[in-house]
Amino acid sequence: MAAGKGFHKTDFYSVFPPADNPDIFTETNEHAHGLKKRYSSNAYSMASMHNLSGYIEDTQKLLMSKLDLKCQTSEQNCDLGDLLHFFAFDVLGEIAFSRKFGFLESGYDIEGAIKTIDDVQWYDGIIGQIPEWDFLFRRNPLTKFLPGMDPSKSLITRMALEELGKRKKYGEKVIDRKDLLSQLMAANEKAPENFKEGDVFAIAHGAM
Amino acid sequence: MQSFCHHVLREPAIHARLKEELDHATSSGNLSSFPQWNETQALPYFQACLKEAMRLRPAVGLNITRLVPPQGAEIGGRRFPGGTRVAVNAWVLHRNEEVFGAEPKAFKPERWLDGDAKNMERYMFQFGGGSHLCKSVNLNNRCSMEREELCADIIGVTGIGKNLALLEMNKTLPLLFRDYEMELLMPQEDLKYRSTFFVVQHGLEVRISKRNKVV
Repeated sequence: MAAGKGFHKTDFYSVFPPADNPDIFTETNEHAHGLKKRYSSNAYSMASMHNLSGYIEDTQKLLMSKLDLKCQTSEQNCDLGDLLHFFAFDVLGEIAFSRKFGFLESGYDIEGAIKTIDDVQWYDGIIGQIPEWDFLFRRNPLTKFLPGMDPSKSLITRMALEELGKRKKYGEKVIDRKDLLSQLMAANEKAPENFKEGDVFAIAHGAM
Repeated sequence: MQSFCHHVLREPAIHARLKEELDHATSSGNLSSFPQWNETQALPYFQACLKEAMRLRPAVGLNITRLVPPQGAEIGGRRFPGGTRVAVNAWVLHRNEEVFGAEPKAFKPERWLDGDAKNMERYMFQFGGGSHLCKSVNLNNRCSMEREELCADIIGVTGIGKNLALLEMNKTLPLLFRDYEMELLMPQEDLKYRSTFFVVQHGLEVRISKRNKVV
């Protein structure tokens, strides 16, 4: 037997949000995974990425201006790790929604959004090994009353919802380029039964 | 990107050789002020450093499990009953001495230039493998017939996270090392890391200044 064939995904994925509408990563049904991937693969292709090269360069210019400021200080000390982390998130924002999250510009982790992602990944990674426990913790109806356990208010989720809402209201024309969200929306328009609106949000949000 | 910077900056000989390659490409007109994908593909030493960084510190640190099919399977000479959770961990696989040669835990870009790079490439798992992604480039030489059929099913087999990650690294790292002089503030310390789903690193602190533009 060939490596990989017939080896289905385990329930490890069940702990990753959004539970109600899995994205490409969390979809464990092989057929549904194939469909989601087919409809969104164009948005992720190397050619699409190259078209977005210029937007990476915009973010690079911002990164360089921040580095130049560090060069001009007397100590010349710089936490390059932080800046690269902020850079990577701002590029993601550009590619997915044509908007920077503003981490590089502000120079800090706004609202602890990056830390939230790290914390959620920490939880998912551990609980994913024992998925039954998810019902004890996050899926317990009481947890949303605990501070910090309600991810729906995070900066990145808000921004994804905001962009989706804006484009649904004003149509494609609000942006002049094909970012991830606009391509996913186009795929949804072309094949609404196979690639649902929930998939558009789940994949755009999951990309973060 | 962080581990690339850390490993290169820690080894003066590697750092010097990388800068030399970048400067040479720039002065011969083969590396734009904002480096382009095609240009950086033609920088063998940079590519060797990049592969070595992805080998030693792959981004995903967690086991992403799959179920052994009901009839069971033999993996690496061992029999596993159906329903067993199995996984490949890149941090383990990438440190296999048989595949990657001597001193598998050391940062040695040269192994990609002198060794059997093609074979090593087959075992790189930093973007996962198989039909569940995030890898595309090596599918053809690494899959068996059945796997190819599976892949062909997914039109265009386009790497998802992979493409963006590679494009970003290939555009940004050469720019950084060509245009800035950097020095680690704590060269004797390893970059700290914590494995969640991704491996989150911190501690990459440098002293930075502008490098003189090459003409």
